[in-house]
This record gives sequence, C-alpha cells and structure tokens, in this order.
Amino acid sequence: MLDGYPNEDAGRGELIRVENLTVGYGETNILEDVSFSVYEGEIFAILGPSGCGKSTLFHAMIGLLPIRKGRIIIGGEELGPEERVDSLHRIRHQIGVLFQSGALLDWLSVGENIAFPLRESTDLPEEIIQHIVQLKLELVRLEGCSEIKPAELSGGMTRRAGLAAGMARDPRILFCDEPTFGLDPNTAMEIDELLIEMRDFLKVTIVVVTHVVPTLENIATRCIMLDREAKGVIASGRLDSLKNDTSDQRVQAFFQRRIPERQSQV
Amino acid sequence: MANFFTLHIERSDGEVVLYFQGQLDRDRSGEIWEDLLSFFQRENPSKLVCDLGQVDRIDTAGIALLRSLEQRCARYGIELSFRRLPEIAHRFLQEEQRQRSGQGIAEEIQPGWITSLGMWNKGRFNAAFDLIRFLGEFIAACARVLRRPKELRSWEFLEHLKEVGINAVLIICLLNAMTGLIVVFQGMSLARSFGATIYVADMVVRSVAGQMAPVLTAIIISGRSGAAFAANIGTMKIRQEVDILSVLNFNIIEFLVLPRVLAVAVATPFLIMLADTFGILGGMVTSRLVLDIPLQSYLAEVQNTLDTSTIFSGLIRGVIFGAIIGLTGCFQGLRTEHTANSVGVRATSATVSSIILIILADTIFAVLFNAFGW
Ligand SMILES: Nc1ncnc2c1ncn2[C@@H]1O[C@H](COP(=O)(O)OP(=O)(O)OP(=O)(O)O)[C@@H](O)[C@H]1O
Ligand SMILES: [Mg+2]
Repeated sequence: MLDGYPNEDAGRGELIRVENLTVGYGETNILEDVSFSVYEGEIFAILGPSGCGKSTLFHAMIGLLPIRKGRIIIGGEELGPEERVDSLHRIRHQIGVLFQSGALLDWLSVGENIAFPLRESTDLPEEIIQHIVQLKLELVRLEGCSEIKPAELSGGMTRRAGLAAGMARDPRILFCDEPTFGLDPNTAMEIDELLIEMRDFLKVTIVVVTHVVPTLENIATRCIMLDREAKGVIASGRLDSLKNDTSDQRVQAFFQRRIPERQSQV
Repeated sequence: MANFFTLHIERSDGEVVLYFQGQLDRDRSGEIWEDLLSFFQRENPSKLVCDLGQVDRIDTAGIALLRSLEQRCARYGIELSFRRLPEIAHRFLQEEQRQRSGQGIAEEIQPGWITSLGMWNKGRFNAAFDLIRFLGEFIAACARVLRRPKELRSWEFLEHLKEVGINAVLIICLLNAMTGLIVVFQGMSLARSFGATIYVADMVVRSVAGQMAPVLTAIIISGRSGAAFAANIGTMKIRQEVDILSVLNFNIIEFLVLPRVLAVAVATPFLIMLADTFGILGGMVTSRLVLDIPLQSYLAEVQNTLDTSTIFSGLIRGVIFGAIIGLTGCFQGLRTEHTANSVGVRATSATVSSIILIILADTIFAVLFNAFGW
C-alpha cells in the first residue's frame, strides 16, 4: 500500500526506510509502528495538522530523539533502539538539516555558517571553501549577504540562508522542518522553487515536513499523512491522489481546511 | 599523480588538456586541488582545456574547484576552456552571473511551541540520570582531549578565559579590597583590647586570604559566568543551535562544555590570588589611615602570617570551585526546555546551586585541611 507507484519508483534506489518506528516523550508514545520509504531524487512530504508528531518523526530520523522500537535505515546505515554513535555519524555526514526554528548559528555570519561545517568535516582548502560559500549564496540568491549576521535578515532571507547552510556539505538528503512556516505566500513559493532547484541541480533527495498544503502541491512527489489519534500514518501516496480519491474523513478534512476558516476559528 | 585527472599534451599549439574523471565532490576536491597546484608548478601551459566528460559526480565543491581554477588561470594569463561540462556546472561557470537581489519580505517568525529535545532529555525526565550522563560524557571528553590535546577548542577556550578571567578582574579587586577594609574595622577594637593593633594584619591574612577571598571570588564568578553559561547554552538550545551542531556531528560536550569549564577552572585560582592580594592591600591602606600602622610593619606581619599552605589551599579551592561553577552552568544550560522563561529559570538555578555546592565544598576543605593539619 505504501509504495503503490512501482512505475514511478522503478530504477530508483531506496534511500530511507523507516520500519515499525515507535517514538515518544516521557510516558507517551507519539507515533507507533510507522513505516514508509523515501526514494532517491524525491521530494517527500510528511503532512499532518499541528501537534500530530511531524517534528517528532523528523527528529527521530536525524538521530536527535531516541527510537523506542523499530528502525530507520538511511543510505545503508541503521538507527535502532540501541545508540550507535558510529552509524549515526555516518548518517549525519550524508544529510543537511533545516530546522523549524532556523538552521543558522547566531554568532556566525551567513557566509561563516556555510563555511564552518565544511571546515570541520572536510579537508577542502580555504580557497575552495570560499568559492563554495559564494556558490551556495548564489543558489539561494543571497549573493552579497555573506558578511551579514543572521539576526539582520528578514524571515524569507533567513530561510534561504538556512537552506544554503543546510546544503553546505552537499548532502545526499536534505531534511526541512516547515521550510515555509510563517512566510507570506509569495516568499513561500520562492522557497518551494528553491527546493525544486536544489533537487534538480544538486541531485539531493528532500524530506520536508509541513502543515501548509498549498505550497506543497507543486513540489512534493509523494507524501505520508500523520494523525494524532491514530499515532501514525493514515494515508500515503501521491499528493493529488490523496487529495482527490480519498474516502478518509481525516484526510479530506486536512485538505479542505482553508485559511479564512482557520482565521474565523481564532 | 593520483588518477583524478590525466594529462594529454598537444604540442602543436602548446595546449594542455586535463581529463578529469570519477568524482569531483566534497570528499575529493581537496586532494584534486593539491594535485592541480603541483601541476601548475611543473607545467606552464598557455592554454588549458578541462575535459569533464568522464566525471560521474560533481557537486558544489567540485564547481568551486573549477571556479578556483578559472581564477588562477585568469591571474596567470592562461587561456582556460571547459569541454563536456555537466549541466549543473554550466549554470555556475559559463552563464553570465545573474545578479539577483536577495530580498525577502520581513515577517514575524513564530516560534515553534515544541521542538527538539535533543539528546539531552532522553527517555524519562530524570535530573539525576541526566547529571550522571552529563558527568560521564564530560569525563570521556576530558580523556579524549588529554590524549589528543589538539582537539581542544582552543579558540573558544581563550575567548571564555578572557570573558571569565580578564573581565572579572576589576570587580574582584574592588570587592576584596573592601573586604580587607571591613576586616580592619571589625578587628580594630579586638586588636586594641590586646594592646597590639598590628594584629589586624593577622586577621586580614587569616580571614581574607584564608577564607573570604576564595569563597567571595567564587560567588562572584558564579554570578557572572555560571549564570552566563547557563543562559548562553540555554538560548542556543531554544534556537536549536545545539541541534544544528549535533547534526553536524559535533560533540556538544567537547564543543560547548569543555572550553567553558576549563576556562573557569583556570581563571578562578588566578582570580583568587588576585583577590588575596587586594584584600591584603585594602587592609594595609585602611590600617595605615585609621590605625597609623606603618606599611613596613604591616607587611612584615603579613609575611609572618601568610604561609604557602594558605596560598596553596586557595589555588586548589580555586580549581575545584571553578569546575563546579562551569559544570553547573553548562549542565543547567543544556537542561533548558522549550518554554519562554526556561532560560531565566536555568540561569538562576545555575547560580544558586553552584553557590550551595561551593560552600559545601569549602566545608569539606575546611574539615580536610584541619584533619591533615595543612
Ligand atoms: N519535548 C516534548 N516533551 C513532551 N512532549 C512533547 C515534546 N515535544 C513534543 N511533544 C508532544 O508531541 C506531540 C507532537 O509534537 P510535534 O512537535 O512532533 O508536532 P508537529 O506535528 O511537529 O506540530 P507543528 O506542526 O505544530 O510543528 C505534541 O502533542 C506534543 O505534546
Ligand atoms: Mg513541528
């Protein structure tokens, strides 16, 4: 059921596999028995209303939250309930992350934020690192902002700079938690376009967490939807089929939410 | 030469062709660049062609390398051209640089009300468990750095040393000089009743250098730096900077905690020595002005009373107090949670608990020093 699009995924490697994952905080499990796969070159979306455990799943996938049951395999490296520092290290060497609250270190300039991970984890000479910084800034259209401190950027710029920093090491997989959260529709669309560009140009596979539907429609190849009561995946597949062919009330409710309605609730 | 690229020299017009092959990415570009540099030392082509037809993977590090190459060729007047460039490289190398302005529309960033817990709140919330884990990781980090001292974040260490040490000098000198003054005033009548006002010098040495200077200094440092560490690391946690660093494979203890703890543990004993000195000087000035004790006799009395063990015990206590302050501050900082007042709460409890621990440790020292007759 999960991978019902063989023609689409044929020939592509499976890059991430999550198997029967259970995670939570304290006494409660937030997600139970979650399974899905992400394939090379996809933009894979994790959807669901606020509080359903998207960020929880996200943090588990990058090894910031212990796994209670099941396992996660990323690029052949496995994470399970036991702490395995070396495989976690190897996984983290292949990924870039854009957190919900940003991805920049406050005390470094934008350019240094990109250069810093490169200096720490590669043996590239400074000259090349400076060129990489330049390239990454061009890619996110922030050329000329290298010296600026993150605090001086606008919201959209912060997100773009965060993308550049997340992509600093040319990861195989980019994880983004709510990359367009709190941005106006136009700026959000710019970020979406950047994500597509990253995938096409830099061949990065992208896992994106979001509760904002409209922006997703043009970028995601496949997605899963989480639900708080079900503590797991309630739907998965291509976004349009999820949207149009579903009989599940919860899924319909999610897609039918419109911004005016939400405002009237507040 | 490694097989990153092969050379093919076409003599007719002095053109040199470099055939790149395999990966041109972040893991290889460093080595390739070195090879290229040595190539430039050996050869002096007037025309260079880079053929990238056999490159199977190129990322921005690879493109950056090609750009560096472009720059170098331009500087030395070498005519450079690329052949069979991958599509992605095209965009950044040959297309004219599009100058696009990087403007976004400012908007309110709403903080995510729940975000990462990071490694720090594993499993059940349990302070004791966290503390043991923290100390264990700290000791492990110390052991690693002892084995390979180069891994110490020396820049961070010096930064913190400056902040903890140098910036505290003035206030510590001032407060301890005043302590010296207070002791003289307090002891004056007692010393008079013995008919020997010179004994105020003994009192100053015993109470200030022996006891008050170390504890007072430690309390000041705990209020200044312990609280700052907690607030600092706590803010980093809330901003998810700790998560960013973990995801970049940094060891948080080695990167954030060790340099800070080391900085206070080194700075505190020196500050205590300074505090001793200024306490004694404060006493000296006061007794000269109020009791008319000549400086020479005051100093001679100080010399009589002050023995090396007093100084030595001050130094030892300094190291221990410093470690307590640093560890408590960092530990509290890392326990910061995602609520608005959490940083303040952590900073306060860092100060309070380190003061309690300092006094506790001082009590233990008093008993020990007494028992061993130091
Ligand atoms: N640090 C924590 N301690 C305890 N419970 C937590 C913690 N973080 C999250 N939770 C719980 O986990 C559930 C899922 O939170 P999560 O942050 O994963 O939601 P989300 O889907 O990312 O929501 P949003 O769209 O608002 O970011 C929430 O109900 C919350 O109560
Ligand atoms: Mg979230």
